[in-house]
Amino acid sequence: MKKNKLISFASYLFDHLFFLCCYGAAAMLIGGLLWLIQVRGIFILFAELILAAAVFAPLLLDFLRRRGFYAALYRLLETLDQKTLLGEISMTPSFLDGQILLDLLRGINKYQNDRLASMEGEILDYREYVESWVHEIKTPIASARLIAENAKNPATLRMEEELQRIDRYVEQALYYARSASAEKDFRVEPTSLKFLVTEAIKTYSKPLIRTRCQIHMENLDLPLHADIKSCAFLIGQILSNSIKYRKDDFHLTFQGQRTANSVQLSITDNGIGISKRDLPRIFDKGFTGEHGRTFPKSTGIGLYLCKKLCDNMNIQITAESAPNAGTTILLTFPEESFVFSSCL
Amino acid sequence: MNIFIIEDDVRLREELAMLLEKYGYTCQSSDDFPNISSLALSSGADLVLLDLNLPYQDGFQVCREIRQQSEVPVIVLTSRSQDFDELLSLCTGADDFITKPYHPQILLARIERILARTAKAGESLRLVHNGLTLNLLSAEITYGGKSLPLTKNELGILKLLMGNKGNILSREAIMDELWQSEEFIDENTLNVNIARLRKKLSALGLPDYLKTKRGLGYYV
Repeated sequence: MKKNKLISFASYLFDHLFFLCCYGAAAMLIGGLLWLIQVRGIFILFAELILAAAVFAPLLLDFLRRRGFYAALYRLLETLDQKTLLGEISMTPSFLDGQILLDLLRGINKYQNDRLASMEGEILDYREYVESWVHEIKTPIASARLIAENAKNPATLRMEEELQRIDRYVEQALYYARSASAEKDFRVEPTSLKFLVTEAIKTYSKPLIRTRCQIHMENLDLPLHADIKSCAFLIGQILSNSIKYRKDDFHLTFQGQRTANSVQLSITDNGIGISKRDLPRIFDKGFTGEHGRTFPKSTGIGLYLCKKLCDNMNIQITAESAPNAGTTILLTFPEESFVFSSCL
Repeated sequence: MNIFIIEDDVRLREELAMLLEKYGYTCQSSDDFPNISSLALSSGADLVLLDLNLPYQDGFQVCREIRQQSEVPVIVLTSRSQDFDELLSLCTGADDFITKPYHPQILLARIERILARTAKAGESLRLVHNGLTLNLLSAEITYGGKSLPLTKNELGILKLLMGNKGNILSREAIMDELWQSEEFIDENTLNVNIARLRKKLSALGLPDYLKTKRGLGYYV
C-alpha cells in the first residue's frame, strides 16, 4: 500500500503554496503600512497574530476534515474484499470537492461492477457450454472405444490408444473450463493415496506400457480425504509430463509419507529433468521453458492447471529437479480438518 | 446371463451388445422408451445397463420404476460425470455408476463383480472355446471333466483371449487388461503368468491351447 498523501500537514500546506504566498505578502504589506503610519510595534504584532489566526485556523480545520475522510477511504480500500464497492460503502464527506470525487467514484464503480457481473455471467455460460460439450463428446468416444474393443487387432489397439488420448485432452478442457470460475465444487471423501495413484495410472496405462515404464509404489496405504476425480486428474497430468520427458529405462516411483498434519505423495521420474532457470516458472500458464523448444508438444497448460487445482483444494505442490537427474513432484494433502474448512 | 441395455444411442447400444455377447452374455434392448422400464422388467434380465440421458424420461425415473418392482442389479452408464448424478443414481437404487468413456474391461469387471454377488446358485457365466470351458464367476477352467482354479491374472489373460477367440492379441493389449485390474505388471511377470497358464492347461490335457504368434502376440 502506498503511503497515503494527506497524512502530513506539511504536504497540505505545500498544496496551498500560492494561497500562503499571497497571505505572506498581504501580512507584510499590512505590517509595513501600519509601521508607516507609526502604529506601536506591539499593536502591529497583535494585528498580525489576528490575521494569522484567521488564516491558519480554517486551514487546520480543513486539513483535519480532509485527513479524516481520506484516511478512512484508504483504510476501507485496504480492508475491502471487492475493491470496486469502495464508492458504495464510503461515507459522504462534508466538503465539496470530496463529494464530487465520491460521485465520480460511484459512477465508475457502478460501471465496473456491471461490467464484472456481465463478464462473470459470460464466463459461467461458456463454462456450462464446455461442460455440456464435454458430456456430448463422450458418447461418440465411448462408441469408438467399444468398436475398437470389438474388433481387437493391432490397428484398433493403436486406435484405442489415440482415443484414450482424445479422452484425456477432453478431460483437460473440462478442468480448464472449471478452473476459470472461482466456484469450488469439490466432493471430498475418504480415500487412500494408493487409490488415487492407481486411478491415474489406469488412465495412462497404454502409454506407460508402451514406454516400458517400471512402476514402484512405496508406503501408499495412507488414508486421506480428497476429491478423488480431481486428484486422479492431477496425478495424471504429472504422469503425462513424466511420459513426455522420459529417458530410456523409464522408472516412476510413488512414495507416501505421513507427517504431523498432512499426507505427502512424491512422484519421482528419472527423466530429462528441468533446468534451474526454468524450475521456478513451471507452474506458470503457457510456460514451456527450454523443453518447449525441443519438445513441440509442450503446451504449458498441464502444470498450470495442476497448480490451480491444488490452490483450490488446499493442496501444496512443489517440484524438485535438475537437468538429467529426473524430477520429483511433491503433493502435500492437508489433514481432514483443514480440507473441510477450505472446501465446505 | 441376460443383460438389458437401456441406451438411446443406437451405435453405442449395438457395440455394447456385441462386446457383451463376446464375453458370454445375451443382450436385449428396445427403442420403446415410454415403456422401457416395464420392458426391462419383463425381459427377465439378470442385470440392467442404464443411460441417464434418455428420451421421454430420464434415467433416474427409469431406475426408480425398476426398483419399485424388482431387485435386479442396475449399473448406470453415463457421460454426465457430475457428482450429483452419481449420488442421485446411487440414491435411486442403482448398484454402480460408470462414466463414459469407460474402459471396456472395467465395465466387464464391474458387471462380473455384481453378478458374482447376485447370481443364484447353479447359475454361471461361461466362455467355451475348443472344448475348454472358462467359468468367469468362479475363476475355474474345465476340460474333459477335470477342473482347475485360476489366479486373478491368469483369469484375466484367458478371458481376454477367449473373448477374442481367433484374434491375435498383442502383449501390450494383455498387459493393459491386467493394468486395468490394478496389476501393474511388467513384461517378465506377463511371461511368468503365461507360462503358469500353459502349465495348467497342459495339466488338463491341452498343451497347445494357448498359441504364440512370434512378434505379434498370443491367441487361442
